[in-house]
Amino acid sequence: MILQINLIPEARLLKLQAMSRKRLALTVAIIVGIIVTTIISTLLLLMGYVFTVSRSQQSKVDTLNKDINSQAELEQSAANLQENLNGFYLLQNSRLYVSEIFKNLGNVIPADVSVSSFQISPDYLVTISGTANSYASVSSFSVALQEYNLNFKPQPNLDRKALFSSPTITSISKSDTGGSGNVNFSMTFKVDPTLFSKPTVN
Amino acid sequence: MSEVKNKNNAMEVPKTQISLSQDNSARNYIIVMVFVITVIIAVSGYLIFIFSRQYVHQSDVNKASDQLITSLQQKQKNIQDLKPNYDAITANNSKGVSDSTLILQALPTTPDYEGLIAILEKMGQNTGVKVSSISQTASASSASSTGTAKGGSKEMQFTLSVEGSYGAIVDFLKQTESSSRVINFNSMSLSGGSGSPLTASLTMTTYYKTPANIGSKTEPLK
Repeated sequence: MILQINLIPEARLLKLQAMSRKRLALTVAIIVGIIVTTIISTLLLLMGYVFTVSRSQQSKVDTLNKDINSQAELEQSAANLQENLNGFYLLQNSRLYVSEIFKNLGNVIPADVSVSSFQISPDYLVTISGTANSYASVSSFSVALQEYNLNFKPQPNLDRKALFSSPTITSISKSDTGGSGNVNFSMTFKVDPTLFSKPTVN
Repeated sequence: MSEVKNKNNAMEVPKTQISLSQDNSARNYIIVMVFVITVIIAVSGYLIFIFSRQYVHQSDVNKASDQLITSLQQKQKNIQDLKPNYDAITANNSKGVSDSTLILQALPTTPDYEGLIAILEKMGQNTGVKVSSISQTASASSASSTGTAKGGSKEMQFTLSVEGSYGAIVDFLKQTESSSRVINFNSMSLSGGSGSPLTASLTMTTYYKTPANIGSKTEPLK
């Protein structure tokens, strides 16, 4: 049988235990301190790096901006020209050459019909109004419009297509004044935009 | 009186004044250390959170700056490439007019009402038509008077009154169609005739395009 005898005095034993506990607490505190110091130091180093990079980038951006701003006038002028040229092409492509419509319309209007107003909408619907001697004149004008360039006055410089289509007499009335031109009328018809999108060479 | 149990033999050890004082001192020391460690963890946790967030944010800012630098370098290169073409387009041709002038005449950057009047007056003189009046349908400065046409061009509608024969008026219209500035026909009313010259009231539209926006677009960092 082994007999264990504690030869250290009890007071000394307790003192050692207390010191051991203190040392443990201090060690834990030191380890925690080292860990957080390492983490914070690493983060500070990384932040120092990214801020240095940022400063360098800012300096580069400033230099580039300075160079670009010194040519802002050229850039603005070139951008204006580019946009205006693009805009011009779009407008030019949608341009309608109405003088050709008038020229051809002049060939259709009977002698006893006079047109006093002419309006064209963006969908190529023409609205005209005027006066005529009789209802029959307005009616023959409507038929002439439909037949123009097909069976009536075919134009040598145009494709054989109806230039004016769907003529509709929207209103017609006889005035009390009597005499010639006592029938007021208004009419709508469509024009073929393909025939009027480019000026005809005479 | 407090007693301490001996771990080895579980015997109660009699306490002296000195051992009790040491025991209290150790306990107080541990309490202080626990408090200190807690404070260190709390403060450092807060600092780590703040620094990490700042680091992540700054890293994102740097990435965005990289992209900005790349786009600025591309822009700088584009401007350098553009210069010879720009010089060519702004140089006068054999007729003493540059292409850029022609483009800006066709579609100016301002309503240029005065320039339009001069063009119409010249057309009237060329075709033998008397231009008796020109007026804008509404003020050019008013937002409601100007519409937007194809390609973002602004419309400016105007009316003009012309006098002349039917043929001369048609010639006048033909001139507007081939004018350097884009002028489109809207409507016409005719009066007079039968011996006297015709009077035509024309409603037309011309266009202009406000200066291009070359400003940079900025987006908030996500």
